[in-house]
Amino acid sequence: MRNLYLKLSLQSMKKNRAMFVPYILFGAVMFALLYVVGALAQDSYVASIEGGSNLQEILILGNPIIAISSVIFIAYISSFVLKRQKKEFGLYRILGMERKHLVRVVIIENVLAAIASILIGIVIGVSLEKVAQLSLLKIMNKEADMGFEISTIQLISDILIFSVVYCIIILKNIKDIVFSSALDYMNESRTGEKRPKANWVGAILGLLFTGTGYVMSMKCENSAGALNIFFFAVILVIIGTYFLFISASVGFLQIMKSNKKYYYKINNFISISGMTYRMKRNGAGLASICILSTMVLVIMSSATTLYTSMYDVLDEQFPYDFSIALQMPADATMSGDEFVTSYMEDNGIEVGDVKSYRTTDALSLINENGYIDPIVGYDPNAYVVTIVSLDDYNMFNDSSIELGDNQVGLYSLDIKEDFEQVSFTGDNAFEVVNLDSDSKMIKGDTLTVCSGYVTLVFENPEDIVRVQNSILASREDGSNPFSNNYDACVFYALDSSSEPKTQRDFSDRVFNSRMANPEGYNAPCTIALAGGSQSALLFDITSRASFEFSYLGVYDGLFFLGILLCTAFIVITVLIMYFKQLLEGYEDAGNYLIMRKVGLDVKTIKKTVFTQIVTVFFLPLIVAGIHNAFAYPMISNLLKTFGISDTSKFFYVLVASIVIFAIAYGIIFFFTGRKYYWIVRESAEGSEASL
Amino acid sequence: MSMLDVKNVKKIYTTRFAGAKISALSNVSFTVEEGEYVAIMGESGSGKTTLLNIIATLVKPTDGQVILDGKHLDSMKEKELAIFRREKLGFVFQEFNLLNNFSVKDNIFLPLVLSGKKYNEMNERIKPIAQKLGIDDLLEKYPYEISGGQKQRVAAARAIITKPSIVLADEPTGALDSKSTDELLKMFRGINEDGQTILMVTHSVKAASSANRVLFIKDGIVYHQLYRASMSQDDFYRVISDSLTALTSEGGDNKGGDNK
Repeated sequence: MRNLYLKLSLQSMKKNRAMFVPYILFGAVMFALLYVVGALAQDSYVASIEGGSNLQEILILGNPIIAISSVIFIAYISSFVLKRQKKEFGLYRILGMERKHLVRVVIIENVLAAIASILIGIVIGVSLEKVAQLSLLKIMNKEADMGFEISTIQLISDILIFSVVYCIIILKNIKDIVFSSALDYMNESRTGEKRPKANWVGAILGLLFTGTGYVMSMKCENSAGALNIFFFAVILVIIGTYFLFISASVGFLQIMKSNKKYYYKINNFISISGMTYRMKRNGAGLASICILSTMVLVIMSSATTLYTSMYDVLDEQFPYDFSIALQMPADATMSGDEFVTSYMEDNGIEVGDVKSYRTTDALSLINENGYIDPIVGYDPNAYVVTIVSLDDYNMFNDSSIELGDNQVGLYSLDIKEDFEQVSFTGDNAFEVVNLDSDSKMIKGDTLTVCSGYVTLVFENPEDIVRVQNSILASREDGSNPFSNNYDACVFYALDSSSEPKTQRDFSDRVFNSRMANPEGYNAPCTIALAGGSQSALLFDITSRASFEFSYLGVYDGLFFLGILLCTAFIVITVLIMYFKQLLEGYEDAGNYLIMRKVGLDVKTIKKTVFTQIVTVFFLPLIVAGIHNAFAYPMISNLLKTFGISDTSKFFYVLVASIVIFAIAYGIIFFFTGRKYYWIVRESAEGSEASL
Repeated sequence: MSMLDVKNVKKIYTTRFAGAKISALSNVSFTVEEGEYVAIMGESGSGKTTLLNIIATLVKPTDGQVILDGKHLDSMKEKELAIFRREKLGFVFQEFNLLNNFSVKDNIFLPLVLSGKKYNEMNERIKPIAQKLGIDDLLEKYPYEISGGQKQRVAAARAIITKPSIVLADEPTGALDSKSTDELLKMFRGINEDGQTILMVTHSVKAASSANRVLFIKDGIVYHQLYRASMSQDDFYRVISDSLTALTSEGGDNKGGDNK
């Protein structure tokens, strides 16, 4: 007896291989991706390279995303497979099989499919992991690893996860069989059919949810705001999209239907009815395709922008290898230049040109009249205002800009207003001259949590001192919003020809010794030099190399995770499209014949049905494009968290991503669509022969 | 002139794989006059459905001619045929062939919409037909919401709304229970009495007995025919039944014999 069930299961799987093969492969690919992400996150060679541990922390984030998508979409696609098999099951029931026998067949089928998926998944996963590791190393410009490593722990945990997934699916299928009669199965295609009704509540909810998500994104003005609303807005738009596709689409078609003159024209007549029917059945599937496409576009464009912008960000924030802030006591025996040079050389760092300059900055609120109010603490609406003198600006930029009395040069990509003047507390007002380029001095990575950068260039350094003093005097509590005292603190910018690792080790050493200072990081200290020790009131070193090191893992990791997630989402999209086209094909085949019998010529049928199919499958892409357009302000603000202040690049990358994805989508559509045509033609010809 | 003239029609199918030839119709000739109600009977595989599909222009004959309402069907192109089908022919099928994505009303309108008729005109036309066929209440429903008998009446309404030259019915009672069958046959008689020409393929004696003339097809040829003349439906039923018994029991022995 047992053999009989196995035979039946195998036969049925073979007969429905158009469903089972993609289903098994889909499970395998999802398994492989889950393994790749997990195994790379534990790979010992990746951990050993520069930035590797940062990268692995980011890769781990991908694990739950892929696991959850696997659960949802494997279950979703298995429901297509079961649906297609129901007629066959009905026949078995009528031939005298009991429910428990059928349950046995379904269990055997699913267990076989699950085992096949996991086994193929292991093979793909293990080989793909090596490929992924090598391409990751390539992306990071690191040497290839010739070793081969299989993460047993990851394999076992992934097998456990997938076993649970397949158990859930089996239970769901058993429930389906237990609760339906043989006749239900035979009439599966006819039952459960409800007339297409416009669900206006759903349609309005859809518009409301999506619209709210859009408005939240449009209103987003800074990176902190974007971080706060991101998940909420995304979830609103996802829910809204489902409502829109399921309800609003049918409602819209219903309105078109109610215009009798328009509706009863041959093309409209067939298209509108066909579309209503398709949208009613496919609403949820199309919404899924739309959401997945949106995610692919968002991830693709932002990850690419990040990856290609890393060195731009680094150059903007750290144009020099080292920046040193120094405040020497009045009785110092050597000049600041001498101090810096000898300190670096004592520590084995080769020093090139040293530029000295003065600057100060403060996180400040700026109102619409240009009133600048430095604050203590943190406010997401504030800007980092950097103040520098005209001489220093010209030195850094190799420029010879001139400013008149009481004029201030202003450069900012982030301020939307066009100020005529800026003012500070205590009658300090200056006429604004807009500058074309930012001061190329070291800024640091402060952009992440504020609204943006503003650079102010003062003609006369004494004005800066006066402004700073009057602001400080106005603070009754004695708080100091400035990073340093403009007058007292001197900055040094210098490039070094030492190895990046030497530079980084040096700055780490300095950092650790400063952290060890019992009086605090920025407390006055005494520094030992070869020619005797020297005390400093303030001494701090920022190294570009150490930031480069910490950025490397993060930016590359995000890019790589982006590639993996895009792959996963594209695979899911392809599968859903494939199964949708397959089922559409089976259902349309009968309608083709009826329409021909009633007197529609083959050409017209083909034309209208093709239009419908194209509309149905390209609608999600169009909506995904619209979603992305509205998400643009939010995502470009999110990118500021990573130091990308100039978002025009993101815009171009996004447009390019949309174009590339649309082409890829078209190709996917073309190939899955062939399946549709094949089915329709096959059954149309088949029935012609049987006439 | 006859409404329908079928002359020496042959149809040979070539199977797709083996290249073997299967003769569905060997040589069929008959005529149908305007206002006639003709039934074609025969066992499964006798070629009767093939014959109907040839008349319906869905299948081209291998040889021979079909002249419907003065038109030679074999000389028409696919596009002309489509127009011809929806204007001159009305169809009623065993499996109803209603489209689920249209409401009942829109299913009936389908051939008229295809011909580019105005909504008001279609609305005028549907009223008397819906009343006659007793489907007034169903017009706003969808095919999956109504019973088989109702579906077949809807299909009949769709067939006659174009005022076709001939209604072709393929086993129209095949999927119906006996009560629905009776109702449908009564309706067919009614339509026929209004002057509608009907050609019906069936192997139900009951369905055939509602016609005025019955053709028997066997082994691809018209083997025998019966006229109802002044017989009552019950008598005609018995005569048809007897002929059928005689035909089947004779089997292949009577090859070439013609009782016409």
